[in-house]
Amino acid sequence: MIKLNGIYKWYQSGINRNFVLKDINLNIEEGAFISLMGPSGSGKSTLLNIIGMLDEPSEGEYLFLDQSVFAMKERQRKELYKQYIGFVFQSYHLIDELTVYENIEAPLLYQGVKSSERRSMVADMLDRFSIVGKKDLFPNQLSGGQQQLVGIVRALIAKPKLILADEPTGNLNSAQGDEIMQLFQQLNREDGVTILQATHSEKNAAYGHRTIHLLDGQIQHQHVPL
Amino acid sequence: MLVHTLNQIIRSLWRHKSFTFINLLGLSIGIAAVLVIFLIAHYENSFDAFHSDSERVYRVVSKNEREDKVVHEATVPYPTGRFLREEYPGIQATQIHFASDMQVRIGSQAPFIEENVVFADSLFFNVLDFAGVEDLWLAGNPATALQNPQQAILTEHSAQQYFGTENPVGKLISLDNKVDVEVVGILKSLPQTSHLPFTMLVSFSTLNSDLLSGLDLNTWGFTASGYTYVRLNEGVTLASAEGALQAIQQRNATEEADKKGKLYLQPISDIHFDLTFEDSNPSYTVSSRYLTMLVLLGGFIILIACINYINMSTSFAFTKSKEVGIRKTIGASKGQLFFHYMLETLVVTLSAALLGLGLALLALPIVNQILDKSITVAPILSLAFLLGAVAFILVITFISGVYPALILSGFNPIASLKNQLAMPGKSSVLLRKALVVFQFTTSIGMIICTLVIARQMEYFQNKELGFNKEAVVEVSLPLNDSVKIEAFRSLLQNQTGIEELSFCLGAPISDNGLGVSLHAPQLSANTGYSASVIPCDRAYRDAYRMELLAGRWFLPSEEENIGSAVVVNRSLTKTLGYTDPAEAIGKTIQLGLNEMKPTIVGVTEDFHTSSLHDDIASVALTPFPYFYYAAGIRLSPGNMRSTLASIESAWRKVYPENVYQVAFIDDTLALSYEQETRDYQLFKAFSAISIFICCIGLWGLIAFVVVRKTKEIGIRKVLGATVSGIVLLLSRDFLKLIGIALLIASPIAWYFMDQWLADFAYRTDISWWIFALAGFFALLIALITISYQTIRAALANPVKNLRTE
Repeated sequence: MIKLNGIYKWYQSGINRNFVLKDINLNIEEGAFISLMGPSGSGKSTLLNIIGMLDEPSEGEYLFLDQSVFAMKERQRKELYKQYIGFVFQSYHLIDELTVYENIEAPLLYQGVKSSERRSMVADMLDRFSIVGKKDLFPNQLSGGQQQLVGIVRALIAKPKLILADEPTGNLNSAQGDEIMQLFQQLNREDGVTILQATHSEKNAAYGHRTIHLLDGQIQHQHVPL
Repeated sequence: MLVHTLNQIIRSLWRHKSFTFINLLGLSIGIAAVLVIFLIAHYENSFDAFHSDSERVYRVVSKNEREDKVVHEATVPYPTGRFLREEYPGIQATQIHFASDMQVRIGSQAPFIEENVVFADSLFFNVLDFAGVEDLWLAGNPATALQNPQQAILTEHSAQQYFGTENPVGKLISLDNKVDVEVVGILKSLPQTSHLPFTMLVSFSTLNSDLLSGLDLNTWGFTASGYTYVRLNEGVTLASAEGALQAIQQRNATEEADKKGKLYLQPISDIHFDLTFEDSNPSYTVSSRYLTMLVLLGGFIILIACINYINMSTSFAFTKSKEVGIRKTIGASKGQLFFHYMLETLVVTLSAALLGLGLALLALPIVNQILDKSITVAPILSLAFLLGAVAFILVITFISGVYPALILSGFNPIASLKNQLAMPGKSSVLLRKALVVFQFTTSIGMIICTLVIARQMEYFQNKELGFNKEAVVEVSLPLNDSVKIEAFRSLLQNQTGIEELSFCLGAPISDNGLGVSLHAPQLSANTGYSASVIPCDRAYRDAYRMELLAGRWFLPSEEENIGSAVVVNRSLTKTLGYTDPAEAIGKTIQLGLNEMKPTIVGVTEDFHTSSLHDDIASVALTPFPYFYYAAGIRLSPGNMRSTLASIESAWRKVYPENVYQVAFIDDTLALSYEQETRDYQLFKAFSAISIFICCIGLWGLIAFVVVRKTKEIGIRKVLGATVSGIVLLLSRDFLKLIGIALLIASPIAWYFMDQWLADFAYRTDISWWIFALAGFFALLIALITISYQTIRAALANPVKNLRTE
């Protein structure tokens, strides 16, 4: 599904190049559940952002479903993104002015989904994740775990094939974190959603099929947890 | 999608109430100002627009060369209309006489003064047909209404005023106690936007020499208040009509100088705007430059308001950056976000437009009071206005919204999610500064203009007029009857409180001179010299405290012997070619008044015969009792009220059938500067509005600066900075911008005010301190605006600020 060949990312400062990513080569098959680990500043977020098409590498090739992402026009890339990718953030990033219902509905609006269809899609999701009772609340009326749940539901609403999660449990206590991770596992197993998560926690990493260790922008080693 | 976006926008606006409030306030005041200006401009532009085929309707006007200047007049000799009608069938001409001061009496009621009585012949409604007024005639027959003498047509309003609920048709009205006219028709109340306002129309054939103080209507050269209007039949060219007028002029002019004069046609649509004929127009005249200035003012005010929006929104954009980042990561495209924020601007502009409409409706009565007009909101009910308003709102939305929407939709999603956009880019800071400079340039410019206008107003009040205008009242005498004048004099003779009593044609300032020809051996007969004669008695000098430069005032014997002696002003001696006024004493001149040849016995300093708009003319003062129509009375200070009361009771004894009219010279003088007083009020209001909107924006901007610099302030305080040091640090940038604005505004305002002042023959100078004062004023207001927030920020506990970071 995803193929990265020789991805570099650097920031020019004066005559020095500060490398964030160095020669990343990576293959991710559809249906995989992969954890990215590494200390702060090792390039996890940048890698996620590049895979999520929010950022561009300084050098290298990125194939998504066998199409070269950065050879595409902006519009095509946006379409691809809308269709296949959902983001989950550490700090949830819900829109404060919107209710739970509206936050979940928002991506559909940007995709131009019809109103009746939208209603049933959102209703299904609310039902599936048992948050019907919270649909009219605003983000600041929810706990952190609940907010992250809404964030994940929002990422799922457009039925993406790939979920990119940047430390999704970083702001949650361990019980809430476990619930979120179990949810990811379930999505991966039952719906076949490909998941790529960045995390600091070994325990969370263990939910995945494979762990990639990053250090100073390079892939240190990969291993399959027992 | 649209509904959702709108819903979100409204919620977001509600959440950031203070931001929304500031933006709404600025925009709605700006829009209200523009709306009021639109209504004023629309009102002025709708003058005389209600006649059919008005491009074929003209007024006959004249141009004469006198001495070294060209005199334009809208009044023409009374026979002009008749000649045109009789000799040129292609031209429909109507002759009117405009009476600006006529005593009206209904039955046995007390008489009163009617200011706008028009004597018109039977072709009046052919030429000025008021076709735009539906159902013009409420009663009467248009075909016969003005055909016979002693017929009158009232307007609905005056009919009600004169007769209440009674049917006025067939009733009699007495004019000036000289003639009775019968009401034969009633017109619907006419639009106020007519250059020829009237409350009553009287058939022209009613006019007789008695009503005109003995003057003969049929003589050529006598213009007084005679106006001629023509409607050219289709196919008749302007050139041929003017040729006809030229022929009439040539045939009738007797004096050499008059033959050089010219009658020509002025399109009716120009009358209200052509300042050339300002002095002889029955109603006020507005220059198109004045209207352009107004529209410019409105444009600047709305621009200032738009800039506020831009500045506030771009400052605020950084608070919204996270939201933009989220929206982009959940799939929003740049175009969708651009649309979102443009829509937000549209919502704000629309709300501001509604608020502005409300404000304008509230302000309109006040504006009408200041301008003494009756501007209505009717124009905004038309389809054209609605379309214009929609276009206007879209333009405002575009100007205000494009830049902030571009900035917002252009944010990099990663950076904005990480809050790395805390500092705005250099170019946007520069742009914001440039916009603030523009705002303050405009406001300071307006303040400078206001100050200059105020100075000129003050100059009017304090200018030496060449006589003393304090404590002098002028009482009109309705009849020139020597028996009554003597009776009035004897009643007041021993009245305490009266210092001096003089009979005359009018006060020096009243513009009530008789324009006559001036001849002297050294003056060429071909040039056509003229002088203004003020008939007055011996007491005139003391009543008005005239200053004499040379010679003496009239002796009692000279007062008896009419036409023997004259006192002239310095200008007249200059016309005669004397540099030293004393040289003129003893010389004889000839005046076109009974062809008198008086000897100059005294010379006064130049005094103003009309407002300071005009140069001082040649003036001759001579006893001539046939033209005593006023009493100038100097009151002694103290207890003026009782003196005035006894003057009135004496007057009523002498003239029981007439209307008592009295005015302090001061007040009369003030009236001649009405237009300037209005300009001044308008400017004051608009500069106040613009500086207010600027300050709203400044308030918003400083709020963001304070937030951004909270940490810096905390660190500085920990390091020992003083409160005043921090206030200065925060204010310095803004004060610098205002300084720049002052530098830009000064020359521009100077240029415009120099132009404005050029209209006055006597004017104040524009001194440097006006610019300094304007700058100081703007600085002061800006400081007051920002001080609340800067001082609060400077006083805040630094430890707390640093902790929250």
